[in-house]
Amino acid sequence: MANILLTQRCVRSCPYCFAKEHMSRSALEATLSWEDLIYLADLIQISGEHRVSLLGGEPTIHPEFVNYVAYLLERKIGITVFTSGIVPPRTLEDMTSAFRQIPEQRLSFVCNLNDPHLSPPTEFERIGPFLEEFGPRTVPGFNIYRPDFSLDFLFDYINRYGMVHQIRMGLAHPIPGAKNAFVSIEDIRTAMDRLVSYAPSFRRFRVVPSLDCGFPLCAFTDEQLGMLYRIVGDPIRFGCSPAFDIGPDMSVWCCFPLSTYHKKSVFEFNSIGEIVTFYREKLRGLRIEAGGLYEDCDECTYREEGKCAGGCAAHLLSRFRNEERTRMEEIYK
Amino acid sequence: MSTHVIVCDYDEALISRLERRRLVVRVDDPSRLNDAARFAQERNALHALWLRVDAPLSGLPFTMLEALHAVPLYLDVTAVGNFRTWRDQVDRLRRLNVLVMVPEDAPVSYRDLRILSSLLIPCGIRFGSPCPDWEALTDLLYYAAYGKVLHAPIQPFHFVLSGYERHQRTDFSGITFDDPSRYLHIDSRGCIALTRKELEQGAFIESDLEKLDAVGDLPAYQSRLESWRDFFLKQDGCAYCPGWRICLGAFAGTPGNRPGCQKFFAEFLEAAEYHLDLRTEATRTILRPWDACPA
Repeated sequence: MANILLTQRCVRSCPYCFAKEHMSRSALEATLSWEDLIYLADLIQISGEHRVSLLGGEPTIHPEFVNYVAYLLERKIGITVFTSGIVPPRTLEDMTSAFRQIPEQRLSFVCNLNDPHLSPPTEFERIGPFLEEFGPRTVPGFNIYRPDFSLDFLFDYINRYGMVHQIRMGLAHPIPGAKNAFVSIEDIRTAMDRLVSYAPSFRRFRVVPSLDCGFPLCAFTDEQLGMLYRIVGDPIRFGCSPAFDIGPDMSVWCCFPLSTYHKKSVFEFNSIGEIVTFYREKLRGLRIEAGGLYEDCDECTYREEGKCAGGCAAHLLSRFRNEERTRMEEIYK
Repeated sequence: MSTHVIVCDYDEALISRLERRRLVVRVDDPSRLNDAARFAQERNALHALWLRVDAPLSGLPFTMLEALHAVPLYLDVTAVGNFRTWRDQVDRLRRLNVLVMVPEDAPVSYRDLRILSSLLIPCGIRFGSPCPDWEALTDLLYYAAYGKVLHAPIQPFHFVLSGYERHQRTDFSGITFDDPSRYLHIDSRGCIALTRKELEQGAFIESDLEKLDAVGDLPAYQSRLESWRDFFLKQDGCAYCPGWRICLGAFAGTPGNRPGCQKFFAEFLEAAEYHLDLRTEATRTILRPWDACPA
């Protein structure tokens, strides 16, 4: 599924922000134009896709946000909006009248929430109005960027605003060439212990954790995997595949942590499938140099069998860029 | 009887005199559309209802239009308007037999035409300025001619692309009812003009409506139909332009227009050739020995 950035501007400044490096190199005022939106809608339909994610920055501050969503829905394209929940009041009013009748399957939100104890005091007051209105079609998202995180506030939010009983868990990754907060390779297992320690709360509140990309399978013990399976019910994926993001200037890259790696223009591709294939090949090139986060990854049977990708490729790229240039030239582009 | 489609304002007295003819009835007030349609359909074949308003599409009373879903509606508006103001009407517009015409020089008209077309609402450009934005026009042509995703026709591109023949002229002025071989314009007194502009300027070729069926014999009419030859007699620059087969010198009068219009119409011609090949290929008979012999 394509991620389309409507704007580069954001209303928050999260310490782990994956987009930080990309944003710092791009024109902040760049916003996606109507012409480019129509082009992308065509590209999505040509490719036989039926869903798209809208991102930012904060996508709702794009002046045409509601119009763009309404347009894509008219084109029969389902939408997931990734938002901070801090929505300009006038936009929220417009969203409420425009989206109230739209089925949740066609329009949903992922609201990225930070721990209130580590955020500015006014942040959660500003998120409230959005969640009041759209909570039932919103999945809370949380990014783990330190091993001593807390999830308690998320259960509170899910209950208070009737949010979807699921938490989209992301693991903050290093951005090659930039400084951001992330969980170091050494701390990943500690962080996963912390995550599994919330199993009783997940059970009690009937909330399902869904793991985003880049979690390594071996960061969990067999017992922990069993506990997660009991909560999630489905096999858990430990993948790292191109999510690919399309910027307001129509540039395209593999994912935010790899935003500097083989950045291209959308106009160089004829379909979404071509973009995915291109970046899948580039990721494969990285994995040839090193299988995964740990040395054992090279010979890991779980990786060979496709049960685990070996963690986020951004860790590998960060490592390669800090060592002597002895690898395939392709890696450094 | 003349085979021309008659274009006239909604004037019941006039329409009564045009019994059993095909009509385009022009209305300036949306509230009169229903009456115009009903009256014209009583004794005539209604070719289209032409609503000409000094308002954007978003300002039209859509609920009123909905009652006209069976009538060909030609909506001649000043602009499309912010998507916010008409996004709730998309379904309603799709259900109508409609063609939304937007002036070429209206702000963001090219963008709005793409929005309309991509939402499957037929639309078109009304040329007004003597020197259009050729670059934007070329972009829109590419979208209309080569877009791979299903979209609604954009005029005049669709008209040309679907009707172009290699050894004929393709006159797209019919899109705005200005092709005298197909349309005649009549004012409330029954005076006959060849285009809407000439009607407004009072340049009539006949002032007696009773002679409508004999218009084809008038020297002024015949000379207009043959006026395309002037470009070649004058050895005008247009005479050497391959794109002339489509533009027919429509933009010849404006100094400085030529490099832009020549480039655009050359692209247009290429697109027309491409679509002609597609059409020819679709109708080509291919030998299939395994099929049963036709009886």
